[in-house]
Amino acid sequence: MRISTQEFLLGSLNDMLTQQSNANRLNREIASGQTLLDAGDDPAGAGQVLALSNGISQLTVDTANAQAAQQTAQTGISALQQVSTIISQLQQIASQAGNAATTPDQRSALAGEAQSALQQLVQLGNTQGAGGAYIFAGSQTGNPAFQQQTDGTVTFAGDDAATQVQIAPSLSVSATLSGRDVFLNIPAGTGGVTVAVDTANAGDAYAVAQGVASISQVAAEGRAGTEFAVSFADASNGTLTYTVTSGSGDPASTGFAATSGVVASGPFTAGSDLQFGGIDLRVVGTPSAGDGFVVQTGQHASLFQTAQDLVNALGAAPNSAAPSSQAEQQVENVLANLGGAQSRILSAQATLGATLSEVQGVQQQNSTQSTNAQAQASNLQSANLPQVIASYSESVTALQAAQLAFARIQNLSLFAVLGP
Amino acid sequence: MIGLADLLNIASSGINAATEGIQTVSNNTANVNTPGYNAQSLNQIELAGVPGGVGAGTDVVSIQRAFDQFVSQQVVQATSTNQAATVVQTTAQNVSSLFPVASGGAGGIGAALDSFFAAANQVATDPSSDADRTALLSAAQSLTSLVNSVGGALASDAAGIDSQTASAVQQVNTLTQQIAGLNKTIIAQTGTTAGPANALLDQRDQLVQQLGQIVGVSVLREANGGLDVYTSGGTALVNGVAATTLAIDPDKFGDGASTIVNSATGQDLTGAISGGTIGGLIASRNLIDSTQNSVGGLAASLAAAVNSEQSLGLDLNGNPGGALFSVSAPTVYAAQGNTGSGTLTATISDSNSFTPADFVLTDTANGFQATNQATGQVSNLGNGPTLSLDGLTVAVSGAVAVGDSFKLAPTATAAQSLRVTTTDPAAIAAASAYVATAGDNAGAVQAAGLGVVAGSALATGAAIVPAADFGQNLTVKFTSQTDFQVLDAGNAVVASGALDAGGNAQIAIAYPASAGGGNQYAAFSLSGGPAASGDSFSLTPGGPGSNGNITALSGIASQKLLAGQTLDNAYAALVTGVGARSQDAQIAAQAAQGVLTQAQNQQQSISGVNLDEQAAELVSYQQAYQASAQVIATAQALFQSLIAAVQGA
Repeated sequence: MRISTQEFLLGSLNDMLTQQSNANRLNREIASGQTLLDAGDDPAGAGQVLALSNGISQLTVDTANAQAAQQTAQTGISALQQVSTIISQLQQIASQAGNAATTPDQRSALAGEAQSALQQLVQLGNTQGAGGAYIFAGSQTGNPAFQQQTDGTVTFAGDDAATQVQIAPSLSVSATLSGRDVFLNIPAGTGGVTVAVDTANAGDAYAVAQGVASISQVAAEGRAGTEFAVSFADASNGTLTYTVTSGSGDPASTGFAATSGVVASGPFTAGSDLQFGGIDLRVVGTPSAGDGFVVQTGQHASLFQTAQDLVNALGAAPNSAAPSSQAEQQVENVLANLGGAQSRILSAQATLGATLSEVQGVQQQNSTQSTNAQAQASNLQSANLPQVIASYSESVTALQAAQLAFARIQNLSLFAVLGP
Repeated sequence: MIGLADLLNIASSGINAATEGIQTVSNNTANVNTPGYNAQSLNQIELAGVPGGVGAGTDVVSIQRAFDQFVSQQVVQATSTNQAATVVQTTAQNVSSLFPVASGGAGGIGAALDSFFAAANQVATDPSSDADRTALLSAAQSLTSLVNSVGGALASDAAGIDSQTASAVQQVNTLTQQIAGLNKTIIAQTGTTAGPANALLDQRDQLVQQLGQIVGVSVLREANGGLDVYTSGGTALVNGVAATTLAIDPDKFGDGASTIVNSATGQDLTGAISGGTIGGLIASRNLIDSTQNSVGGLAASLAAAVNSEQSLGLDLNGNPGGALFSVSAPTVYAAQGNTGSGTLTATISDSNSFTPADFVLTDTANGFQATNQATGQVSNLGNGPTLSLDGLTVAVSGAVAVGDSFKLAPTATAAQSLRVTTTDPAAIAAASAYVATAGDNAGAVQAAGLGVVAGSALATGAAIVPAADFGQNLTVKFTSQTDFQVLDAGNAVVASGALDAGGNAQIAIAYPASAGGGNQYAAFSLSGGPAASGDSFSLTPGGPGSNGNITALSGIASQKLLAGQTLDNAYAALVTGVGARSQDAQIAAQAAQGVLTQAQNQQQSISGVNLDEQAAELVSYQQAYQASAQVIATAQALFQSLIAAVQGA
């Protein structure tokens, strides 16, 4: 084929330009280590890379959230552990308070100990997380969850809002617990059953709810707000009898209104349990005729109030050598409340522990997923360096060869040969 | 029988021809690099002598150019196709560089979206943290700046394309006038015996070549020597000695778009033009418009979703959240020729069923008809006053006459107009509107927040607190083991309900009508009944540590918001689309380059100057000259011999 001189020169030039542009492109790939430099290089791949990096970014966020949740849960768990220790301490103090051999001096020392335990409890209730947030305050994280009033009572300033944190796609956990649930809303006595001694009692008897024979019945009585009035009287034959009347009304026995009459009665045998309303009530000591107890159901006691009750019980100086039934009852009630509180704290710890292990499991999963996604993205966009470098060398060699050939060929002219 | 004089005549005709040959070689070598030059050669014939005798020498009838009409037209067409593809490729590459994909799309809108939602999630882990809130605002700000700059870059690309189109149209006018001018001279010369000058023909073909680079054309050679030029759509640009003048007119909607018209008749020629720079620019402009719309769609649906979520929560000061973003509303342009006085207002009512595009709405005798400018799809919308179109709600007001038309640009300017409207970190509405807290309850009923629930998703029998009481502290109080009342701050009963047989119930507090697009409720479930009479729950505004709403806000990332896709997927689809356009254009440009090179080679092989060939011809003509000169010398010698013989006799 006939080739024009211009075409010959331009053709060679175009070939060299193509090689140059190839080499430049490969050079960019080598320098950046990436083969996907522009969406036009591989549109579908570009879409996938973006989707993958979006996924990776979400996993990163989830992982960060999981770490934060883990931290908060751990803070909560360690606070609860300390609370649990303090409760054990209070239990010991209460046992000693109930011991007749404890001297007034010892009692006052114990009162001091109980007081400081109470302060520590309030402090633990106001535990702060990493960001300074009060972890038991629900959504009111800016203020201490619990505030001790001038009269010694502790009020809850938070709410029940659970802060849900996403730790994996469509999986959220709450790393905090409501302080009201953990510290305040604890079933009092035994399963919400509390006993109060009538103030006018002459005997030294106090009573303890031994157990709950029927949980559902006690719960139903609790919802109905049932109270039981237990009274003792002398029978004509000289023995002591008891009568349990069910009713409802103000916790104070004076406001008590009998509604459904007598639910249990019979001769009183020391050491045996009275059974009524699903409750086993043990009367300890000897009641006098005319003495009485009020048994309430569905009651709650705050841990702080229980500690305060213990301080009060220890502070009240005994007016006789033998402790009064009032004081005994107080100590027994404190012990029962502390038992309830201890089990509430343990279950709270278990809840946070479960969250913690869930978070740890998910974190591992997140990291596996993230690694996979990264590997996939890298497959799509990373340059295969040996291959790219080989292509680059080829391209550069071809360019050099083209230049050399051009230099030789451009001398080939018939005019040059003909000469003058 | 010929005489010596004839011998001299023949020789001198040979010398003349050789001289003309050397002249041609000289002209060919002089023009070896002249664009559009076609190699010339002698059209040489033998002069007839007497019958039965030797010839009478040679004659150069004309100097002809090596030109193939078909190949020349092929080159023009390949140039047009190649030029159009190159222009589109450049634009597509420019556009795709706005959406980086290297390093997983770092520095792109997708990555900025991810950062924004990651920052929102960070706020969710500690909603009261000022630092986290500030980080969210600055993530919103960088996302906004990025979207603005992409929108701005697209707008300036569009402006650049418009001005290139205007100057290309000017070039077309200049070229067509020059061709018409050459036509005039060439037609005049065609009538003469010598025929038209080769240089003029070369020039005219070269002008057609240049024109083909700017716009796709086809040519028709007339018998009179004239050359008519048509656009690929069949509109005459040059007809004999007359050239059509093109002009750029603003389009009838006055929305900044422009059309190419015949300046004499005002006829819109945009549809009749393809190929060449202008064809490439028209396609580029479409690509930019659709990209602008898609980015705008992202911006608009992000702003709408975030603002809606903001309105459902409480900020750090306990107030209902305000908008976090602002974005321009859809624009409606009325056509200049509208005879009615009616106007249209459009809003994006459901971005999830909205695919970003411009629409032209025309009122016909059978109601409004919408044409999607991107896909060309036509839909009938019926008569007003409210029209529904692909997730858009269009309100018609006033009297619209049949034949009136409007252009809807829902998201054309959204990308540039996106703004962050607050600098106050406290303004981020992270908290839930309400949280429930149990009282000192004897029953085991528990309250759990369900978040924000649409009216249609509420359980039947839910106790609904009217919107008028929204924002107050509320108390749920059981009046029996199953019945409860909701009391406002003044202890007035605002709603009541009862636990069902399973001990469950739902309480829903209506948001004010404007919040979250309307019909939204802050809902709570009660479970674990029966309750004890007197049990209570307080429903209070979420405190600084509440993250219910910011969690929902960061959940926007996984919501299908735009045309059935999440924002991130919509962005990836946008990038894939732009990338595909870029790849298509690249492949088309490569293919067109191949065809062009092939056509050019063919054309050069026919018409180009080869210097070696010219050198050989030069030698040949030189030798012919020398030979003819030798014949004259010989004739002279013969003549001398003859004279000497006569003298000697």
